[in-house]
Amino acid sequence: MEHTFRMNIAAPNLVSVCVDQREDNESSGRMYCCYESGPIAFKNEYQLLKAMEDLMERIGYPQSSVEMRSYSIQNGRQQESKPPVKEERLEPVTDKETVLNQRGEKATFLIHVKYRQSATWQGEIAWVERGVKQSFRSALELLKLMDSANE
Amino acid sequence: MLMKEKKKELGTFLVQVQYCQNATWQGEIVWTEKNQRQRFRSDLELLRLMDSALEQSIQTSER
Amino acid sequence: MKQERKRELGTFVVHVQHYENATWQGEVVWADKNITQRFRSALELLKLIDSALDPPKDDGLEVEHET
Repeated sequence: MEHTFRMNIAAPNLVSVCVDQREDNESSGRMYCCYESGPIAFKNEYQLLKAMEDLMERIGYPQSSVEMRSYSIQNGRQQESKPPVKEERLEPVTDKETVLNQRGEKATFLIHVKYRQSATWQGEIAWVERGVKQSFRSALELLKLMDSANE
Repeated sequence: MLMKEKKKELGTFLVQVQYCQNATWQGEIVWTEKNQRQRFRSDLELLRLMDSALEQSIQTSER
Repeated sequence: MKQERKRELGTFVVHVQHYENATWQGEVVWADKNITQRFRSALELLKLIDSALDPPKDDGLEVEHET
């Protein structure tokens, strides 16, 4: 498949998001990356965000500048500073071409999160079928860009 | 036949958006059931805070 | 590069009532305007808050086109 947009497809955290269904303004489908042998299903965008966050935490790329706050109490206090990163070397199990060749029933996006600063994400998203690419400065902006593709 | 739904809430949050920087929001969130206040630095962090509170709420109600 | 705009503050009361389809449903009250809206998912909640803080504008994925 010829790519008509420039994107860093060598990025380890590059994901292909295949949207198969749209229901009640929510997208569901499959996510592909090099560190999973098969698709990771998501029922809505929030699940997709969690899957992407999980991937980036596991491969340690990109490093997040902060640890996310939550209401889960650990050792009697809220975690705010970033704990030491566990050195767990994950190896790719799927080749890049396989990831890039996946297609969703409704739409396909390639998402590259370049940075995780200010407790959110910054990067690029490409709408494969249209050959367009756009930068995003936050996860919310990313969600809105994906949403705009469905209008 | 009209049945009035009994609204049992999983969680109630007071969200105060105070700033918008880096294309995202910053502010404070209060989990009212536990009267716990936290600051959030982004949209993701806001979702994460709510999610973690709701998880606890669901786990508590399942016991 | 877009310029950062200082938006107005906003206060919301979020009532999460259900957890179905791996997401939340409930009501959100925009306290400053006393407007209540239902939301069917976490994403919809974010979008409602965002629309209250800033009027929607058209700058979706069609903007940048490279060949």
